[in-house]
Amino acid sequence: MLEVRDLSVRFDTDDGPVHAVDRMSFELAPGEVLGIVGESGCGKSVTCMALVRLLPETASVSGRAIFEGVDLLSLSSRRLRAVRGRSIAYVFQEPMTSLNPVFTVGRQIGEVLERHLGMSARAARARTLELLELVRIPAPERRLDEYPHQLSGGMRQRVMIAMALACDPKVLIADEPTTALDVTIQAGILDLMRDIRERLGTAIILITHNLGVVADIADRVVVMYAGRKAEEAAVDDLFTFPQHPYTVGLLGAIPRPYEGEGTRERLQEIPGRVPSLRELPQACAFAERCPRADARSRSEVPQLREVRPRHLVACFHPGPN
Amino acid sequence: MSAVDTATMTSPRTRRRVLLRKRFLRRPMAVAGLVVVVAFVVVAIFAPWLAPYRAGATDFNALLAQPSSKHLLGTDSLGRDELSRLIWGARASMQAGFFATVLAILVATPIGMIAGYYRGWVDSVIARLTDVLLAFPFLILAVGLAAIFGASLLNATLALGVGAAPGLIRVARGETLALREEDYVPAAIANGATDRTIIFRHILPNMTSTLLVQATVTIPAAIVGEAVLSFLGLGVQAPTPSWGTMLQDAQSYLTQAPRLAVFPGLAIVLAALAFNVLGDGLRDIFDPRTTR
Amino acid sequence: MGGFLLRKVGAALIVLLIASMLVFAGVRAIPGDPAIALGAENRDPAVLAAIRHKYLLDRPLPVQYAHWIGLALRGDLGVDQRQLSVAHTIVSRLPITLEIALLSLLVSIVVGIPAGVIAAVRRGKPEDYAATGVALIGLSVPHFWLGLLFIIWFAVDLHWLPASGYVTMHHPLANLEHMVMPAIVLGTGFAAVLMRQMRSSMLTSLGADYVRTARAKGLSEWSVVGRHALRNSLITVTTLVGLQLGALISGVVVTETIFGIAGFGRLTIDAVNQRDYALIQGVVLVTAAGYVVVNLLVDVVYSLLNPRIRAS
Repeated sequence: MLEVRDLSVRFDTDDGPVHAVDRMSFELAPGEVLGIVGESGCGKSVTCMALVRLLPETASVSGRAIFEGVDLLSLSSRRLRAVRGRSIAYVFQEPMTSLNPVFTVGRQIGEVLERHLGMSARAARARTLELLELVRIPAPERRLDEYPHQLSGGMRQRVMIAMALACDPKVLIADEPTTALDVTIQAGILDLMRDIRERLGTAIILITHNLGVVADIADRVVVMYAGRKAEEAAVDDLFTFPQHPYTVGLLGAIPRPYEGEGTRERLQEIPGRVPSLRELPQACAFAERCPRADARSRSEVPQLREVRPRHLVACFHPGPN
Repeated sequence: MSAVDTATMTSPRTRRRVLLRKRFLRRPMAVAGLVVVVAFVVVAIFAPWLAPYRAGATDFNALLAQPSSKHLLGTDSLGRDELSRLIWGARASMQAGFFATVLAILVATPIGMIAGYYRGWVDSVIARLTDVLLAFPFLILAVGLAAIFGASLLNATLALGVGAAPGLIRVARGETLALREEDYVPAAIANGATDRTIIFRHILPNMTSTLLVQATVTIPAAIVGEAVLSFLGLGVQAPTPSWGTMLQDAQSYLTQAPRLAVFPGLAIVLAALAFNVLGDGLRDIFDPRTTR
Repeated sequence: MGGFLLRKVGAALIVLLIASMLVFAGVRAIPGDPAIALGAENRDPAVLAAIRHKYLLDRPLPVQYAHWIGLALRGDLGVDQRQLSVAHTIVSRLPITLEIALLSLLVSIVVGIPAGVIAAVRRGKPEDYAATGVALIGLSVPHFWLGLLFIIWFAVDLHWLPASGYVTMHHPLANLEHMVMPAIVLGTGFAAVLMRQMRSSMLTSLGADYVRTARAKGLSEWSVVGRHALRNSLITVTTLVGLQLGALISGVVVTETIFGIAGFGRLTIDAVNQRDYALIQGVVLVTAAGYVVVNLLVDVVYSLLNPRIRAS
């Protein structure tokens, strides 16, 4: 349904170009939940914002993003606007600031219905009520006429999700939907997303840096590092048989509660820092921090290879350890 | 350590100054503004040497004369040389501009900082007093001062300074409110710093760039204000030249000698524009969000 | 919202009180006998005695003040040099000035706000530079000079518009003819300020997350800029209007002087030049009161527009 080929994003700053994303490719099947994982700054948000062309003008995007037979990246503005919000919907990370403070919740959701589905104000209001119930917001009739500042963070995020689902989109892109929320609220939002996927069959791209979230609801996972795809696999495969040293490192860094047997494990850190994105190194981006790096890693860019069934890695020395 | 190492070890303050200077030089408009400002200041200071005639020198043989080699910009209704009066007039305008602004800053900064730092009832009281000040536009203040003490450049400057103070109080208060939330404040308190130390050593230095920008945009307002007051007879009194009084004279001769109205006004516009452009440039270079 | 407004009204009353005290003190600070000052230098002993009696000049100051305020609240602001009621004079001149002020405000809004929006939307492009440049010049031009220039061009040279004077609203066309130049002259300064504020405010709004959300929803650029961003920016700019009123008041005085309009502003200057202290006192008091009231109104409008305050 959605096929991304060789997506690259370059930002032109006054201090030179920054290569935020380098030849990303992935696919999304209908009804699938794809998790994109990586640390802050690895390019996961930029990738998805590039798909619907929400990046600022300083960004140069190349590659193709084929959605239902059409390349989103070369679509006219008018036709792109017909896709945004209708077939591909976006939920942003910051529910605090992503809603317009001067319009009511009802108006902001109704807007989408009126624009894309041509609904009258009254019909939009009724449908908005249904949507608020769908996302399990308590007392939805009241919320319709309330303003964002009157809602808690968790409720605002639910409103964002309701707004995204308004036109029954095929794809929902959720950019760190739970990061800005309390842990207890997070669980509720994740339950909601799981529910949505089951009931509505919406495909979801879930961007997060939290592997726990991914383990919870994703079908497939893409691990990104420094703007490139490092590994891709089904979620169970990734957690049981991680191949890329970065993935291994990430899994090792998940804190596990001490259960009183044997010695306590130390949290494994990944030494070093993310490389600067100002040049595209002709080497493995992870080489400097990698215990398995050798001369080849430092002089060649590893290509993606299928090392296990439907399990891709970009590494010269893949394997669990 | 080699000589090379020490050469590259400049202090953060020096580095910042160099960076600011580079950013300033990348803005031709701001540089032009600075040049014009300096030019006006120089003219004001060196007026006695620059003006071809003395300020009050009349020539009854050349009333309302057209520009000539003797009087480059012509003369006014009393035969006084326009160019000279323009140059002398720069003094009144620059004086009013600078001193009113300095007064406003000296008064407003401490008040604003106290309001922003201590908040609570102190803030409320200061806010009410500022509102009271705001209720008297500088013109009304000048009217009042003129009524009680008589009209003069000094009173006009006072009125302008007091008129500009409320705005500056708000700015100082806003900056202080924001700066006091910075992490180094509780750190300093934990180290036993007194309120005074925090205000003077931590908060005030970080406000200087904002204050500088505010000063640079208050000065043109004061210059225009002085012209207004002199025009209305509430500031500089004739025969002392001021661009405002020159415009007042010109008003009676609009049909015969329109140029008498043009030149003083152009001088005001040029001076004010230069300061405004400079102020904009300064604001840009101090703003961390601008990239050049 | 009720609490917010109540506090604003309370604050306004306090400010009014202190301002009136300042006016009171100001007149009493004039060197010489207050009775002479208030009586417009009329030295007839009978008149002086009447004034002393009316204003309780031999009683302690606080009593004088209370009495004076009481009279003022009942509309009695004394008489001026020509024995005319100050209050009456003020009331007859005020509408003229209000008309100029409102027309100039209209000019400022109609010119300044769209210019600011366009400059923000087309940031860095020629339209932005042009608009910002014109605004800078507008900020630096003294409006009374502009007035003189206008008179030279449009009245003296071209004879399109009358150079001075005022015609009442009974003749709307003539009235407008006389108002055009003063309104434009007075409006340019604020238009420039408004334009810069709108530009700055719109740039902030356009960079906000909720605008990104609006775009992600597939709304047209018109909707995004004109509804989502603009509404937020207009609210921010509202408070500016109140602050500008002070400049407007000053500006009106000069404008009326140049264009020979006998309005409230002109009254202020005439009062000073004639040393008519009773008139000065009345004018200053009314100006301060008017300023406080208008600012209160602006606060009310702001609280109605800003949902964060309205809905709490």
